[in-house]
Amino acid sequence: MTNNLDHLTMNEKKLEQLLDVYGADLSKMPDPFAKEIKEFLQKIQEGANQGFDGEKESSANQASTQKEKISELIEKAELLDQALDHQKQLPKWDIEALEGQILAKAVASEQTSTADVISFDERKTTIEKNKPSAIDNKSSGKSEFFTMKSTGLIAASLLAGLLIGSFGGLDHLLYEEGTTLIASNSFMDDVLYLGTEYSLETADFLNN
Amino acid sequence: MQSGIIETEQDLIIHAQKGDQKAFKELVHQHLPNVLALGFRMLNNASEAEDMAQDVMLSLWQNISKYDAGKAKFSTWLYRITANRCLDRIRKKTPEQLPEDYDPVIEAEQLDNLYNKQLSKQMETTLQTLPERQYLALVLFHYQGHRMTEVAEIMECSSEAVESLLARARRTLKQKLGPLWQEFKNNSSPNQQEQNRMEVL
Repeated sequence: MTNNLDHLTMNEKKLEQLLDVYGADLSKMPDPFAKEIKEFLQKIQEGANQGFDGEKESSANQASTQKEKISELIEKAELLDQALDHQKQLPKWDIEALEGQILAKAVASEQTSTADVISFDERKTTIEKNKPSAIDNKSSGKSEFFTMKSTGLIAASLLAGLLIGSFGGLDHLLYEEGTTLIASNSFMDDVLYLGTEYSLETADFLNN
Repeated sequence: MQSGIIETEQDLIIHAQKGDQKAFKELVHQHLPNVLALGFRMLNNASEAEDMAQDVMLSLWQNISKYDAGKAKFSTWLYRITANRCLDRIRKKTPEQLPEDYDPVIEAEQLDNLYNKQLSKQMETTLQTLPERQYLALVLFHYQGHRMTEVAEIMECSSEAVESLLARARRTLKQKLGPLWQEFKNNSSPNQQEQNRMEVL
């Protein structure tokens, strides 16, 4: 059967894909697609009226079936568009009042930012005035060392905790899987030992 | 405004960047309705949309000097800020914080018999279950009427990615609303349907 739709790039599947993206409103589609669809629908319509090539009755029937399928696709897309359109009716806002509020906030925010600049300058002066002496700097260095040390200790404890925690989970898993409790316990002992050793080493390192 | 007549949006932006409050007010006047609409559709709550719009506009005032006309249209830039604010708010929401005053039954009653309450409820629920980027794409394209390329710019992705998001969103809606189609078909305006079909065929 010769089909006058053969030369068209459009087909049902492509039409459905386009409807899925753009909806049934052809004005929302980019020109080449909208044009293709219009041409396709026109050909289908002609086919349904006359039969493809104006020859066979079966062709006309086929075109009618195709037209029905396409109508259904379009109808579904239209219904979805309508459902979406009516789903969200916008409230009536008092735009003027809102604009007023926004402007008032904007003006206030401008004042705030100016105040920030002034206070920044003031802070800068205060910092300059209160700059620590050389002795203070020394003590400050010492306190930095302590801070680093305690941070190191905390990090080491956390790491050990994590190791124990994660192997604890593994222990649970082993137990769940049916491995003997003794085996998993001895495994945990090793982990705990490693964790302790690591913590001790870290503490030694930090003490030195 | 300082002097002369400000005609174009570009003029308004330049003046607002210099701290001109009247120019800023005009920009707010031009864009606030769309910012509110996008916010309402994304957040499903009028007062939260207002709150978000105020945040966005305030942020606009504070950061307008960062706007570069060479990189994006002003509206695109503003909607990008709005979309990001909406997504931030959606992500921060816990189930308990979902719209307090929103009642889908009341909403459905306002629909002038265009479709039944069941579908409205179903639609609302389904829309809320869409992944946020699919929903954002749908709102920007379907409700806000942006072109595909604009949506892509606002969402900072390719047009193809937006097409894919839209297609997936619409397929999900079609699939989930499937059993209710017939009912909806019977309740939707026949004249409107016929008119649309005549335009297409």
